[in-house]
Amino acid sequence: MGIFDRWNKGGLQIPKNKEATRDLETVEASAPKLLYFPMAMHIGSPAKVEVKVGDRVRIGTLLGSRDKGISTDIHSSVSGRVVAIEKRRVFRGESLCVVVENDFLDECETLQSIVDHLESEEFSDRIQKAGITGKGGAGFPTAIKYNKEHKDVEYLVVNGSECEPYSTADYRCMVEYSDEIVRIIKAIARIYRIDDTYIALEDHMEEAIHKLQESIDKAKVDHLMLHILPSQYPQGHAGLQIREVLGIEIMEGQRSGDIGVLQSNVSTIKAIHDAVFLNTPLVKRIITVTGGMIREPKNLMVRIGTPVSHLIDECGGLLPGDVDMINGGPMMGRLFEDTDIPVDKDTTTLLFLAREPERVESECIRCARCIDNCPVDLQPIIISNSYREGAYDKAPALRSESCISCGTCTFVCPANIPLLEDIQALNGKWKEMRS
Amino acid sequence: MKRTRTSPFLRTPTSTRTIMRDVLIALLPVSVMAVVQFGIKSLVMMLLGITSAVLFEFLYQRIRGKRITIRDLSAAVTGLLVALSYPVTAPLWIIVLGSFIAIVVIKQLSGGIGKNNLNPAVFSRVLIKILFTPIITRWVLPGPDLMSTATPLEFIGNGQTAIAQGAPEMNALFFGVIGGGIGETVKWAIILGALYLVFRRVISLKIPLATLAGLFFMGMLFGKSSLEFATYHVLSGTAMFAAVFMVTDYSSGPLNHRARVYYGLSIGILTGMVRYLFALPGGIGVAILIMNILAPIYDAWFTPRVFGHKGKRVVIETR
Repeated sequence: MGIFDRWNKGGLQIPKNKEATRDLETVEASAPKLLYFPMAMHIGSPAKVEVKVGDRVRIGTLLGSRDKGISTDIHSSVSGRVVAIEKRRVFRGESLCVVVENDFLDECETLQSIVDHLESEEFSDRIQKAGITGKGGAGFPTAIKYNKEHKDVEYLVVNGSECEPYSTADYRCMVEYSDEIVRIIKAIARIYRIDDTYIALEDHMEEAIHKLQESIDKAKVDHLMLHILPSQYPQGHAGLQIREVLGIEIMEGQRSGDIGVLQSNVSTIKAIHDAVFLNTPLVKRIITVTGGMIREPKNLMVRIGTPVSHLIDECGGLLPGDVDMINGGPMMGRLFEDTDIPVDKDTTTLLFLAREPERVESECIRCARCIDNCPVDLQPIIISNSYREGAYDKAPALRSESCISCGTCTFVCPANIPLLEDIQALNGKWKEMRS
Repeated sequence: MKRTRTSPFLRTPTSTRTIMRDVLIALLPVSVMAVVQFGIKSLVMMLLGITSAVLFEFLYQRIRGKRITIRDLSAAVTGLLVALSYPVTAPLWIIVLGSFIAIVVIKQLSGGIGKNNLNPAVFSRVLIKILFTPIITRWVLPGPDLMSTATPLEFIGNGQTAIAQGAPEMNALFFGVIGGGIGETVKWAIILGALYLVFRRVISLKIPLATLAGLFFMGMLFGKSSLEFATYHVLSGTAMFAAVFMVTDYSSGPLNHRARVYYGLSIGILTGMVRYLFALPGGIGVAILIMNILAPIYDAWFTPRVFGHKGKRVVIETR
């Protein structure tokens, strides 16, 4: 009974709003005439352009190659001709983009097939060549993790919890590609000699749990466990999830690799599968197009480089009225206004919400909901007060830089105080002061 | 300049107003029982408490040119709490004075909601008790005759270690067949209100429980391990009402959850001591005010450890 559930459940319940697309099978989005490939669609330095205007490209042709430091390769997702190389507005600000005109022939070029018993060097090299970056939203080049951190890996944690409301891309990936996910996890465990592997997902993901368990049983992977988390926000955060699953806390200044944990998003894992077993680079991804203002919410298999406007058309267009267009989920996503922006490798969700009237901030009543619900145990209201008083030097004592930007504090505040904004502003000021 | 809006784009439906509305709803059982027990004058007292508190807040903010915040219902809550703490024999002007002290002297002069570090209703009650004791302590039994009576506290406080002869039965305490403030006597109605607040997540159950546990412990200590004596303490006076509606006050208590629990426990213990050591039956009011002042120390002590950090650094909040 609902009333008793409420008594028993602790933690923060944020409305999931996943019903619109949860049970919709992923459909292939049509390819547009023009695609835009930003050279900056990952964290780190942009890729170097490898083509000239007029060049013919095929699906899988290298458009940009890894630059020094943190960077990765970028491939074409259609066949056709390079018609321009120009600066354009993209999700990460502004970036040099390779513009490809699609000839709709879908000619392919694949990566070289690799030896059966590949070792970790070849494996991470393959991830790099396939241009794979973290598909959960961070966009960190995956090869670096698998290269640097392979030394003493003890655990693999695959993140399938997708805690953002509305998003169902990872969920569909698990439901529709469970065999592939299990197969590549088995391979990674062999290559890196890992004894314990986990897929972490939330308890409401029944179909995915069922499908993955079937695949695990079928493939007889006895080191792989499904770790079911309660549906609480934000279970998808890397550090918090590792603590939940393994009971290990990553301390400030450490990376997961330092404590012997490899961690990847489930869609990233699927991309690694395709790179290793199908020899295809990362040129497509599942994107949830949803929200109250889109006519037909869908899970779309989208070619990277497709402009947002094309996907809006694929979903029947927008309803009339003021709309907030958000790249990502409603808790951590960012507003954008230009629908010519192309989707990139870490676009998980395109969310179209009816614009709500601006909320008026009132006085803090000291209810402490922000403190009670902060997943990393910060005291958001005290940080916010310090910012507003100009006491920027309190940042280290208040550990404000440990904020994971999950937005829970702003969400729960009954006085509509933009706590997360204040925390980020304080961190910005503190950084300025030190430099 | 247009400010760029940033995530999160979802917001809780809970607002200051819905929280205060929930507190009013939680006060409904005791308010209804006040009328049932002590008659229509109780209703007049409550309405007077609410309207005077709201009016004082409105006038103060109007005169000082501040934003009018009476719509957040917090003044209404304070006014009702003020009214519920007096016996039905109290003159009506006392209620108005009580509202004035709570709203103007404590809440608004501190800077408005969330800024006061003393509990307005409690401070007002304690001050009026000191100033006007004979006229606000004419306790009567429920019923049409309004027979004079002594409150149960007079049989257990002030150095006593057992329930004195002639004290009301335990049952009478629970069902409120005793003298006291109009909203404080019926314990089951208070419990009902508490459960509603917990269900609506306005308060944590641990806070009133810790408060009453502290008082119970002191009862056991002074009553030579008599369960009956300790229980009698918990059910007497304003303790339960205050544990639910005053100790849980956001503004005058600490912020961190653990701090709030230990703050409640301390209030309970201190209440027991005040009751035992002094001829001050209204011990919990004094205990709350003392702890209001010490609240920042509790917060400093119970600052949570941040994820990924060893140990913690204490920042004492200034306000």
